[in-house]
Amino acid sequence: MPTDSPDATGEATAESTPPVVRMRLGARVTALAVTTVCALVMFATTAWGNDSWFPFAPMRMFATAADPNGVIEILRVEAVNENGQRMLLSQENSGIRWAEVDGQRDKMAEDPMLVKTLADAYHHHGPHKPKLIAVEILVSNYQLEDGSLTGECDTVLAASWYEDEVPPPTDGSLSPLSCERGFSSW
Amino acid sequence: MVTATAPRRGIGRRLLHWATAPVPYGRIAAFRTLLYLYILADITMFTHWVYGHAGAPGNLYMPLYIADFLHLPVPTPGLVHGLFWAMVVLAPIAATGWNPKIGRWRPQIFGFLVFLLFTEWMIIAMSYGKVDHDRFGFLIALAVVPFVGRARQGDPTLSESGGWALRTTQLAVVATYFLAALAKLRYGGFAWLTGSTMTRAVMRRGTIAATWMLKVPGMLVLAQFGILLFELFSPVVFVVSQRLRYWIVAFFYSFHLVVFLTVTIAFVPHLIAMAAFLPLEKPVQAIMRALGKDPHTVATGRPPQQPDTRPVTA
Repeated sequence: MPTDSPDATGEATAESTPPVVRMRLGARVTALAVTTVCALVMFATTAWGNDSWFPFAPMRMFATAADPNGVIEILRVEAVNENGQRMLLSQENSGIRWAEVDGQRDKMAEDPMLVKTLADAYHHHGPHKPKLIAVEILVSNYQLEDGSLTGECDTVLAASWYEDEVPPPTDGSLSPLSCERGFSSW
Repeated sequence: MVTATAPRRGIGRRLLHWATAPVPYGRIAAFRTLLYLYILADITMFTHWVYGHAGAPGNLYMPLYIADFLHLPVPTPGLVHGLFWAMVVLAPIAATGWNPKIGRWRPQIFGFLVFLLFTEWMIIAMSYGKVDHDRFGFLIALAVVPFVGRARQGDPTLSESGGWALRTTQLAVVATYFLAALAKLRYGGFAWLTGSTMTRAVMRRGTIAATWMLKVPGMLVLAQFGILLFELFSPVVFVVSQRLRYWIVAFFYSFHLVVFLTVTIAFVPHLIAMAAFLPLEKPVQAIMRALGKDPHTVATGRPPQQPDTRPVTA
């Protein structure tokens, strides 16, 4: 643990140089050792780790290569409340990020009760808002060719939860099967 | 960075000297204030969504290894709200630099507490299926600055432990770039360079400042070459002159500005940690001088020593 030795005086080499509070050699060596061990852990987790190693590496933001002739998937979450209003269920109104839903998409596809937890998070976030009766995880697939958009796109229902029956697909403001929502500025 | 005039030494000694090159206590004090005030901004604005995790029942929870290792509990509303309010109270106190005296010492209790609370906040943030990597440098900064001990605003006295804290933070900031480049080579390989990762980013989060690039063939591939090169060569910042170092740090900041304007990704905590490269004590000292006060006297309560009265150990 690096601690200063307050009794140490500075080298007082140049007249304008303020005094230096030095570290004891042991503290210096310990400090450098801690830094070195951290660095080694970071390199090791970069090579062999995965996201579960947070707060260490790998720093894998945007690290996967998207196939220039593949599809780009854009996920969104929509919900319908008891008044029949369809809305986007986002970080702002539920506290759950779409990237988090994306990370758990496969599990959610198998278990609608996991999708329901998004509605629970929405109710926790805004307890006085109308109740949600449906949550849908929609994925728009945009086709690429040589790295450029071809204009081809389809949207699929990746996972869902309905309290009773499937609500009507749209109230006009959102359209579940369109590709608009995922990429509104196109 | 202050470098003492020293005779040539072995590589171990030189490394030790470099890793603890002294910085003014005033820089540490200003950096701490910046870090702890940013905590308030982070939990109320940038990671306020963590609050939402309080309402997500435990079945969305995917514990990180560190949570298993430390036997951290599954987040509950009580835990998340408790962390939030504890930081709202403790971070401003830590920002003042004040700590109670315990025996002969004044350990940075508030700094250590804020580090522990914020780390747990981050662990909760990243335990629901998405991990962010924009805060490694910030977490390291929070971890190391309490070890410097007491530091007063404006104090020009140099500190080696302060130098270690800032150097370690700088290393963590640059590691974020360099290791991101290595991760790209690990996950994407060289195909990353010619892949469509940036196209995907622009489609998911692009602003009007970016979407035009989708229509220019090769534009985003060129950007990918630029990003990987910049990340791989970022450690250069440590081997250049001080003057050039500021220019490179300015480039880092401008890179993030462009990223924010095009794909709305703001690495804010990383940008705060990167201030470890800057002479943060200077504006504080300038304000003190403008008020007619000498920074050294304000910081230590006594006037600066005259050169002829200073003890000489050489």
